[in-house]
Amino acid sequence: MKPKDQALDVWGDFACFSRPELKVERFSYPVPTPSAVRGIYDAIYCKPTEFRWQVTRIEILNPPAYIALRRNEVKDKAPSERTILRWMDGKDDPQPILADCTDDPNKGRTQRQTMALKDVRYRLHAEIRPWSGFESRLQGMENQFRRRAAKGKCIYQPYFGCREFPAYFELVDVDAPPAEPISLTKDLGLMLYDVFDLSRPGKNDDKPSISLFRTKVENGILDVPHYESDAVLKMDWKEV
Amino acid sequence: MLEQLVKYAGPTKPGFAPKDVRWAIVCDKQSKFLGVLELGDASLKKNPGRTFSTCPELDQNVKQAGGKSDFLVDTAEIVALYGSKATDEKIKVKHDYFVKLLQNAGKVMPELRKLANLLDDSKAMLKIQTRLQDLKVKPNEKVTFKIGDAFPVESEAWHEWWQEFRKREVAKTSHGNVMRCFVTGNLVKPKEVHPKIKGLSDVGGRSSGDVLIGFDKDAFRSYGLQQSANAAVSEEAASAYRAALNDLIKNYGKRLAGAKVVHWFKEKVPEEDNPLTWLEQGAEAEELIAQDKARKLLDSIQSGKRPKLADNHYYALTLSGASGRVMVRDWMEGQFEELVGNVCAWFDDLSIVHRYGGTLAKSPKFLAVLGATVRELDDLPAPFVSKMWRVAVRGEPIPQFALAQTLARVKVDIIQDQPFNHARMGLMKAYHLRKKGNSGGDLKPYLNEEHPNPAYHCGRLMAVLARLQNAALGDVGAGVVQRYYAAASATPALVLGRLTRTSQFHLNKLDPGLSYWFEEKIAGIWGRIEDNLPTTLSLEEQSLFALGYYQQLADLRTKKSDKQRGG
Repeated sequence: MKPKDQALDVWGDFACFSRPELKVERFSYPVPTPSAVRGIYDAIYCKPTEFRWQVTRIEILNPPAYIALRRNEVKDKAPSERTILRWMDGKDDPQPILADCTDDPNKGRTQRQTMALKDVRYRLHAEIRPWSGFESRLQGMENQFRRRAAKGKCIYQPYFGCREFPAYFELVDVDAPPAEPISLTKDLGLMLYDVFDLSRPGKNDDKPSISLFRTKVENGILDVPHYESDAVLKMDWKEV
Repeated sequence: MLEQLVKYAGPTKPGFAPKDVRWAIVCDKQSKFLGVLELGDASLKKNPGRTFSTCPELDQNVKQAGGKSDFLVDTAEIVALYGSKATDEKIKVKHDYFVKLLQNAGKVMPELRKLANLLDDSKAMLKIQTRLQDLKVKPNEKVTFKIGDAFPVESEAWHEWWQEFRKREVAKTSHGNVMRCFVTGNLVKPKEVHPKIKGLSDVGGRSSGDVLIGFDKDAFRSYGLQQSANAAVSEEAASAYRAALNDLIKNYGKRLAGAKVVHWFKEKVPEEDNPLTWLEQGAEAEELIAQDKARKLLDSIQSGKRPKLADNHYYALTLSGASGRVMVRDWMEGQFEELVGNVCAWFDDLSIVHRYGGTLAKSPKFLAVLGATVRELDDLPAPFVSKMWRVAVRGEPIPQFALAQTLARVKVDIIQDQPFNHARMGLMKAYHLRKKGNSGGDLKPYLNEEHPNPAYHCGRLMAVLARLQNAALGDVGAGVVQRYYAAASATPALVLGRLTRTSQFHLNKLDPGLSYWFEEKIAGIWGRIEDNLPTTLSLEEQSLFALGYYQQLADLRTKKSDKQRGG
């Protein structure tokens, strides 16, 4: 059975799909990356052991407009889940992340810029791709997704690239009129496709496997190649 | 963005970079020390020296391991053990490394071995140090060698040896896996520490340079990836984008308050056809005003006379420095024709009648437009500068912040009886023309008596009343403008009726002819306002009030003969 198109209208005040090469002083791609879109679908309905989402198309409904945000951010990262659990259990003393009063140049805070997008609106299209052995449950999965999305249910709030930029969503009816994308045609060069290997079910501790693809927006529509296609430049170890 | 920078740079070789060198130790062919020569233009107060385009350069992370120096070009303290830190053990180790490199390179270029021997000779070293001191050379200034008439750094004899040597050194510190390069898409071993970009020290950067791609803090990394594996870029691509950025910043970078703007084209564009230069320069010292130039160029592209330019593309970057990192504030790209159209529209939208009437004011340069929003240029916030550059280049609407700032400055000018600033008035006009739904109605460079907004006519009335008072009483110190402009521009219904009534006293003092003329003028404006005299005016309406006031004043100052000519 062929997977059906699952369309969502998503919108929000801000979005930041950081270019990896400019992720410190963040600068957003003008359009969402397939991985960011996958994240939105995953937030609504996700069973990593049974299926994955394949993003097929992104329709841009509002023209990309940038806004500069500047914030003080800490240089440190939160420790691993294991360490935090030990703190919670009282096995170790919690170690705070210091924003000030530290002489260590790798600690404390630093000002970082975010060139985010503002007032974004997209119509997203994706398909459920069951993993081997779960093909027969495709229809059930699709129905479950549609039920959840129609009621506005999500596992966590979907977001546009960064968690502080929430994405609001609405399921698009099968017989809904087509969207009206903006008249933007642009070659965006190489863009991030995904950070993980999508060819097999993933686990939490998977190593990243960065893939890229050449992006061209035509009349406001970005057609996303399937992960298996040659248009997606993957970490092909045979080539190395 | 990186892809375009790499294309701009063309083929580059990692391990080589242009460097400015101020001093040369001059030797004869037997490497006998002859003296020290100042390179570049010695008459300059801040002489940067001479630029050598292909100097050897050792990677930052290799040098960070300690005890390493560059080859052939380095600071006076390392090359000649000169200055207060010369006895420092670290400097000595670096000096020894410098000499060792010259010895090794002697295999392919024997003169260099002789130079190494010269630096090993303590008597010769003393002479060099004395001479450097006589010339007041600073220990951190760059020094190289000159043998006879030739600079060894310009020779290609050592290039191959250097590339091999550098490759071995880099390999010792390289640990990454093979990944996809974000510039080329090829599978490459990513460059761990990227080279620094120079020339941003006046916009928040460091004089030693800033990195564009660098992940030196924990919070900058993701998915357990180390260093620049977070955004894999090959060594060649990193070297190319750095060369491109350094060249663009050094040779074409323009500082606009807290940000630096650089731009380039896919195919080279002659300077006289570069619309972004017109934006920066305005009509200064130009015979043909920038607006006309842009219009002519646009016409020639649209009529097919300049097919090469029609196919061309522009790229523009706005950069700043922040804590040793390069901050990209904006990135724009598009068709050349679209750029010329946008620059044309910028000048058209800003065009405004001259404050003394008659003709249009000269097109302001970009910095003057920015300056219109503040008292001093130093008060300009960098994000605002970056936004306004985008507004001009991309033809976007002007932010309301700019209007609010400009209006505040205009009010001060009017109340203090300062001459009007054309860029300020033009910017307010452009704001309305570019706003969604065009709130300004039919704003034109000259007075528009048919304008639909009563706020505009309230401003006009204020100008006529002020002129009437002046005609009746001459200079009275604090006149009607100084006393009532602020109130009239915010709450016209409270003020304008009263002012019109009291203007009768001024009318009585005039000749009957002039009095009739003023009366007609005032009645005409009230005819436009009708019963729509606004109680309060919003920020945007206040700016229309100011524009009405300005354009009416300019119109009153325009000679009859100019009006007949269509001025």
